[in-house]
Amino acid sequence: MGTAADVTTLLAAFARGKREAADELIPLVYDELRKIARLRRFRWSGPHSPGTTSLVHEAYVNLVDQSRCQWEDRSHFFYFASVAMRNILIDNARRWGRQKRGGGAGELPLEHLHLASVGRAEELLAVDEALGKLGANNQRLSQIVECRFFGGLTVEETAQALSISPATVKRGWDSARAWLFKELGPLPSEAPEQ
Amino acid sequence: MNGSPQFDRLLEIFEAALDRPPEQWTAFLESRCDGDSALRHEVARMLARHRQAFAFFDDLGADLRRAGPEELDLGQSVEGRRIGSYRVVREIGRGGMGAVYLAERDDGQFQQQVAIKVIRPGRQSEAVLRRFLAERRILSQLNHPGIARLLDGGATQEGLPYFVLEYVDGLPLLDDCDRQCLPVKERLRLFISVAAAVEHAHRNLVVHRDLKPGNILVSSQGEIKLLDFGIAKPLAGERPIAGEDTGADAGDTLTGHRVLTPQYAAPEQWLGKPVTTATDVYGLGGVLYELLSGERPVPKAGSWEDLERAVLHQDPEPVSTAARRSIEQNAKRRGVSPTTLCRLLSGDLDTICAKALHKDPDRRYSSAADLGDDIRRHLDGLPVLARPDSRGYRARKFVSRHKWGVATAVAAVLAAAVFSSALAIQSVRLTAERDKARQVSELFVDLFTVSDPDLGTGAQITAREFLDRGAAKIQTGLAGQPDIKAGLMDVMARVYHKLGLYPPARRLYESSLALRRSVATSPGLDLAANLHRLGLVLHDQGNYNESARRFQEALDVRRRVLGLAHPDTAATQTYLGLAHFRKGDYDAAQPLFEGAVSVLRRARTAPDPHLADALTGLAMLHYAQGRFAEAEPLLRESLQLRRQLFGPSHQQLADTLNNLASVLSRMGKASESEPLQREAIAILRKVRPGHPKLATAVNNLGLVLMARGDFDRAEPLLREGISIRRDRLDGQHPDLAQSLNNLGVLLQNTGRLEEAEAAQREALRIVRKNFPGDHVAVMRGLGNLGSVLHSMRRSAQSERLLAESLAMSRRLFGDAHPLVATNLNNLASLLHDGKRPGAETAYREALAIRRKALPAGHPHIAYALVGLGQWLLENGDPMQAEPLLREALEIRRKTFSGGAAEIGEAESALGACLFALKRHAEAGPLLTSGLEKLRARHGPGHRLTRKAASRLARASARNL
Repeated sequence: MGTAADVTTLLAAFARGKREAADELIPLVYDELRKIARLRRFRWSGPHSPGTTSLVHEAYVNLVDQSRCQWEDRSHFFYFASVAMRNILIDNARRWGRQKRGGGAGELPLEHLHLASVGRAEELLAVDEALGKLGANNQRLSQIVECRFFGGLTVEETAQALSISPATVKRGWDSARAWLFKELGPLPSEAPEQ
Repeated sequence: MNGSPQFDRLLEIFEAALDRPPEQWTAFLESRCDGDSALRHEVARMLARHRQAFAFFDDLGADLRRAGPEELDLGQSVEGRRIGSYRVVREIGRGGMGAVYLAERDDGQFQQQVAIKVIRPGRQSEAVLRRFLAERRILSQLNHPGIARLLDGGATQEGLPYFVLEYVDGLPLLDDCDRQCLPVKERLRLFISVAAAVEHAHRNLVVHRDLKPGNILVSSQGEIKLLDFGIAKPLAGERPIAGEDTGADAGDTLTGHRVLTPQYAAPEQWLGKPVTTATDVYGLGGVLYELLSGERPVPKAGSWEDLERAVLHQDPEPVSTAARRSIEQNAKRRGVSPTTLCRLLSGDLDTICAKALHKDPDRRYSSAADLGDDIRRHLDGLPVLARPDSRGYRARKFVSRHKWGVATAVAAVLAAAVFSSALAIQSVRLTAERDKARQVSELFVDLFTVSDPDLGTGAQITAREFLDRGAAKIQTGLAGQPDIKAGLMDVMARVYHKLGLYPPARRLYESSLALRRSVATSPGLDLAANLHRLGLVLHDQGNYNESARRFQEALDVRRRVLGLAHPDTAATQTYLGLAHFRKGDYDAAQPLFEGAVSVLRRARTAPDPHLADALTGLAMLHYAQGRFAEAEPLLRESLQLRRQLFGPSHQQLADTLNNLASVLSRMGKASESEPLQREAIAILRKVRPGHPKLATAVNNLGLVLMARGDFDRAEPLLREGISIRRDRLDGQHPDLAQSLNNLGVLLQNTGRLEEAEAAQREALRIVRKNFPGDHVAVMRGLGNLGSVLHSMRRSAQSERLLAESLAMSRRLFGDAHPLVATNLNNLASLLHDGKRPGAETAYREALAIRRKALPAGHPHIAYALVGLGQWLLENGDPMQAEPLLREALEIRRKTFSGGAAEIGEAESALGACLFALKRHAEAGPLLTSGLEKLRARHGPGHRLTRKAASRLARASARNL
């Protein structure tokens, strides 16, 4: 399992309407993303900053036999990968939370997959929770957030991944962010003293 | 697709509203929501904070994809690598132990170029590491415009230490001077600033030990920067770090380490004798020698032994002789003829160089400042100290300084003896005074003769118009009378200055100064007064460096002519202190203020306005360094003097009232502060409407009200201050930044976060421009912006800013200052929200500092107590939390009025704590009344209200 050919076949099957292909596809993508993330920890400081290519792109290049792959497959892959990224990140955030509660003082050791600053785990979990609520109200918006926020996809890529127009993505991304932020509420903080 | 019709409606209205301009939103929502107020409220909340939402997701998203710990392999190409929050652009230098890179900030916050010095891998022997760290520590003690400033420091991923310096885009001293063909005079002026930078290091007990032209850069703005403290050492008196070598290191030269540069090293360095500040005086002498002659004081080539003999036993040839070696080229590079160059260099400059380069350290100038001063005296045509003081020499100097006056005197009075020439000048001056009086009266008649037909009869002409016309007439007229012209310009400038019209005031002062300088007869005291007043305008314009320069020059003249104990000398000294104070150079300011106060107290017969100034200056310094209790009596003394001097309505009285009010407010005595503040404003509205000083007063009252939580009355005052400052000061004035800062804090407190962010960013931009290195205003700007971003949930940016602000405050004030505590508390609060354990340490340190530095019961102590108490409570230690929260509540009950939210917050926290301790009966009433107060003040949706509500709900569910 896990060869480029398998992934391409699964993607093609999914594109033909075989929904259960997704169940097999997700773990492959998931593993690949974790692997890249672990490796990339040591390369991200180079000239190619993390912003220039998302993990999702890199996973695609590694996993998919591109000569055999249709354009739509790439789009489907991007969406799958974004969902996988969400799972990885939230998983990590939960683990940090647990360790912190049980583990006493001190920041966490760095050998863990370090995809986000430990300090923001709580916020990430809050966003995820709000995103759950958003999905219950409007699934399209939550998919847009998965692609743009967790997957790091551009507007164009998100539009392709979800088969909607870029204008819809932009609008939805704006509305979703405004709504999620409202759900999070402001933080109190001591006003600086003069 | 699942979904709910209400949600789709919400979305539809939100998106439609977003397409409309914000001013239409309220009406639009009203019409589209059909009286569904819950829906309207929800959309309104989304709209109000949508920009914040976008920024928050950008910030968090960037953090998710942020690089892990950086790798830095210096063996390979480093362009684009990150070091701390900087991105390397290119390598700019490489030495024995480290490499220096040009880098840029990489957090999108500021455009700032820096130089980063990193130890090269494989070179981190213990000695190298020690020296590297010593350089970093030494730089952290120095804060001078002539020394490249330390901005930051840390260790790379591999554990290699680095530090970040101000990047100087410039050329080495000699290259810069030669390329620009700088004349001797300009070279000497540059040299004076080099000496000042060295003097600053000496005052901080640091000897550079490796002064040479290559270690001095001239920036593109023409400012010098002293670099490379790589072999500098702390002088005795500095507490040596355990195991650290503070010796002379002479042995290292032989083992090949670059510890000194042989051609520039002083004899005592060759001999391995103790290195003192005199070593740097020798180094400066070498720099001066080369700057003037293009040659080094010891031969360039030759064997080691030749070099040693030259350094230890041969006196360098006079600098004017050395310059003859390539005289054509030297003259061309200094823009003069060979003959002129020889004349310029021989005499004083020969002697000055010889004294600085003396083999015996004790016979050199006793300090870098003395050397600089002697050059300045030479430039002013005064006798230099380097020469034995013979009478003939002094007389020659006197004649050349007063060339024009002496010649006239000789012609008019036929004075024979040299020693009567001073008298002769006096009589010439008497005649001149008579002429001057006549010319002035003519000019004034001329001014009042209105030639404009529209203004001919009856029409009132404003003071401003009168002034403008007068100024124009003076500029063009009186061509043959530079002396009178200068005096009149000076008078006009004073009027402009008093009206708060700084740019014309400054122009006129500068013109009169230039005129006075051009006329050799100008008596020193007029010039000094002119310089002093120009310094005042520059100070009021926020140009503190220039201002300090003028005051320094004025002070030199007054010291020389009037002596140290004269009140005018003390007055200039006070203002020089003030300019240093504004620059943030507190060390330079303090002795100046203290000296002036003691001189003036002794000289005092009647109430003395200068004494009031000096007292105020010293008080402000104490205030800035957190010593409020020391500031208060000084200000009360100054206030009393000014009431006696000026009666009830005078701007300076208002200033003191203002200052005293600020001190009282910082001591937590808000009720004593406010009436003083109001008195100040009433005075200024009467005597200085629309004046920048009025802006200061309204701003301060705004602050006092804000500290009490009275935002509604504070806001219009702060806005009035900003509008005056925008109107009357240029858009880059530090005071404008301060106003924006305060307004930003108010906006943050009242939930208008985007406006707050904009205000803080503008403020930060202004202060960064004014103060490129460490400065309290920059620190405050960073901290305030960080705090706003924290409220906006942009924690990544916020943390960087708060940490930077904290580091800067430690560098500026040491670890025990209340501002360090403020920064710690803000950072702790951010960490607390992220549930990060660093919060506790930071709270504790903040609390410890505040308990020590502030009077018991100060409201700021309560902030730290509430933070730490809640942290302990949330982390399972209610026992420890209880006394802290109880103390906080007591303080807040004393500080704030009955229904204040601050009291509610403390009540709710203490209630939760008691509940956790199973003291349910005590907890109930506190939880309830805390919630009520928060709900009344902040509304039900506020995070603090919700927190208090959930605490009460939990308690009720379990017990009540």
